[in-house]
Amino acid sequence: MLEIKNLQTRFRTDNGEITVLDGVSFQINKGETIGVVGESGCGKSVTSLSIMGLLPRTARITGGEILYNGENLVAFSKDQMRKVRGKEIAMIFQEPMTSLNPVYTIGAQIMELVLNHTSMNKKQAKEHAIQMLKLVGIPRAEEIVDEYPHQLSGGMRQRVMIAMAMSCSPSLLVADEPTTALDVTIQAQILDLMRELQQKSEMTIMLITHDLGVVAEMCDRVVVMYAGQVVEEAEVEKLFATPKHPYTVGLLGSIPDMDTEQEYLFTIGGTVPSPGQMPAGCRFAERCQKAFDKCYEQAPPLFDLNDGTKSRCWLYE
Amino acid sequence: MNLLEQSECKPLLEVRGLKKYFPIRSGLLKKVTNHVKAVDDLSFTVATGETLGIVGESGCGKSTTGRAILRLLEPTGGEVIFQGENLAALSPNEMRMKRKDLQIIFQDPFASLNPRMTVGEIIEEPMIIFELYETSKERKEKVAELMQVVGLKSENSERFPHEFSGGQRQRIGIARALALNPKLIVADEPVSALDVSIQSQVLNLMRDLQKQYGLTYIFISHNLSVVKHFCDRIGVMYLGRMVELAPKNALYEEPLHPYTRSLLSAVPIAKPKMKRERIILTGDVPSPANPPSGCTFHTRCPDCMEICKTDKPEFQSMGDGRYVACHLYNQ
Ligand SMILES: Nc1ncnc2c1ncn2[C@@H]1O[C@H](COP(=O)(O)OP(=O)(O)OP(=O)(O)O)[C@@H](O)[C@H]1O
Ligand SMILES: Nc1ncnc2c1ncn2[C@@H]1O[C@H](COP(=O)(O)OP(=O)(O)OP(=O)(O)O)[C@@H](O)[C@H]1O
Ligand code: SF4
Ligand code: SF4
Ligand SMILES: [Mg+2]
Ligand SMILES: [Mg+2]
Repeated sequence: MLEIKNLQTRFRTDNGEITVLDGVSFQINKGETIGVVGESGCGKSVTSLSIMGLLPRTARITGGEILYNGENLVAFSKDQMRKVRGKEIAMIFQEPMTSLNPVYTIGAQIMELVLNHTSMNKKQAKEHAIQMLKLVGIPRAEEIVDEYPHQLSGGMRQRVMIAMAMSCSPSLLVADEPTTALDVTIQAQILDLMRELQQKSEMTIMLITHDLGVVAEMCDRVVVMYAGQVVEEAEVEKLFATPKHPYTVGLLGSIPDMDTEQEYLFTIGGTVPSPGQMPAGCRFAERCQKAFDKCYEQAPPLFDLNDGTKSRCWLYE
Repeated sequence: MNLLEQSECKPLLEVRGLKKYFPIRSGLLKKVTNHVKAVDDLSFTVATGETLGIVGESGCGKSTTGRAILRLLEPTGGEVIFQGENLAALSPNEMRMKRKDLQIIFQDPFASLNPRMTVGEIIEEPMIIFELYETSKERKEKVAELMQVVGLKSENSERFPHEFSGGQRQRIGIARALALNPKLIVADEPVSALDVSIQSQVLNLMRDLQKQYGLTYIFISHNLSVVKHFCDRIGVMYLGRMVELAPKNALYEEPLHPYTRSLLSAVPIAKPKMKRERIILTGDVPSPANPPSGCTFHTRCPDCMEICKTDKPEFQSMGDGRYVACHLYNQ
């Protein structure tokens, strides 16, 4: 359904252009839920903004394709993209405050979307907006529709974003950290709602999250990113049982365990290289305990391990 | 109830009957018709060097509590006693000087970082305001050190907040809060935007600072495994009130309040296909403008009794530093 091929996205900065996404490739099949995880700053949000055609002005896609049902979204005009957005592909943004308009009421923002993409009239759209707010567990929805974003708590704003994204029953939902600001009971409720919509309308979900518990619960397949590239791709059970890439191994090792007392948590030492200063070899080498000579000289390709697993690491050559 | 017995050491902070109501305006004249009781009669203490976790449903008033303590929002009522002084009674000027000791890490990093300042300037600003170092060179060194400490490359100090990812912005907020060596930090979801590896780095760092400088934290988070790892005691809030307060092991081993139980049962675990018994809450989330009568949780409580619908349960001591507000534990 969605196939990302060798996507390269670059940003203009005061110190010249930097490559933030460097050859990202993965595909999402209809009706499945794919999880995207990875180091903070590795390019997950930029990937989803690239799909949505919502990159900031300083950014541009310099290579690759984003095929949605066979059509290359990268080549779409602004108008064509606007038609796709909201109805076909909807997105839940990581930071709700940056994507909700502070001067319009919550209701007006949901209604605008619904009026643009469905045949509902104003009254029906408002009803629908209230209905959606109730579905995501917002109390006093009838009043909240007429309130402004700053009057809501962090988690309520996030739920407004979710209600908005789901209001036109999109075929593909790109959810960037949809539940980070939510408590676990409401999170469970939202995840259930997503699953329900998925079963009803075969919705496909791309779920970006730091919460590996949510990944374990929701996803069929997982893509792990590091420094602007995909470093591992696997079915969810395989990823948790036998992680391949040393970064994935470190990531899974950092999860705090509810059942044991640890004074300090395990961390992967060092920091990720800045975009623009990527090493010639493996991008994880500086922090990898398994690194050997070749790793510092040559960048590993994404090896296909033939069981649906892929790993960008010389150990799997 | 003697709040002092909640913690063994002398409290650094004592919150007594804290209230924050937001007016709801409606009609053409925008008359105040009701109030959102975001925080309603909250009392707790925090001892020097301890970490108090605050958890609870989204919208239950956690951020409002944090902001009201620091007077970033003016409390509607109650006292906030910090080192023996009532912050709620200080003049704005006196309060400004206190800010050196009390810092906050905001939940929404983007909204709280000035978009026109570079990251270096943002972290340096509080040091300038409070004249912390003699020279600009010393401050710049401190900025570089802080950036490194939170896992950001110091060569990025000339970049602007919008050029960073969500998690990187969160770390800028953390570096800024640490810049003044405060005594108390209210950390509002400080690690929720971070991947687990960086999350571990930040938590380890916060723990180191605590050991080194005797820092005290109020740690607001939805992530119950992080709270369990990081906090000494945990307060559970529901609809603007504290419903349970306990040392962490006691709380996780034997949650008393029915809301706490449902909360703990809903934690997602990083093991695919593992099935668990969930206590699913039924009933709508009530409105903080018109909270239910009696126990405010009674509309969703699986253990609700007749008395719960009419009588408000007391926040009572259960011994061993445990407190709960629930009629199931009436003696
Ligand atoms: N407007 C911009 N200008 C320059 N660089 C940018 C800009 N926006 C993002 N970046 C850089 O692009 C990289 C990827 O950012 P992105 O937001 O995609 O990360 P992420 O994987 O979503 O991280 P997080 O988990 O923290 O949200 C980061 O290193 C960031 O510094
Ligand atoms: N400025 C405001 N004006 C009106 N109501 C507000 C304002 N700020 C917060 N509220 C209301 O106060 C209540 C508590 O909000 P608060 O932000 O403290 O919740 P929270 O516990 O931090 O939630 P979350 O976990 O979602 O961040 C909410 O019902 C919210 O709508
Ligand atoms: S290629 Fe080498 S450095 Fe990179 S992850 Fe594999 S072993 Fe580590
Ligand atoms: S007081 Fe009653 S309704 Fe409230 S939590 Fe206890 S049992 Fe449930
Ligand atoms: Mg992101
Ligand atoms: Mg909050």
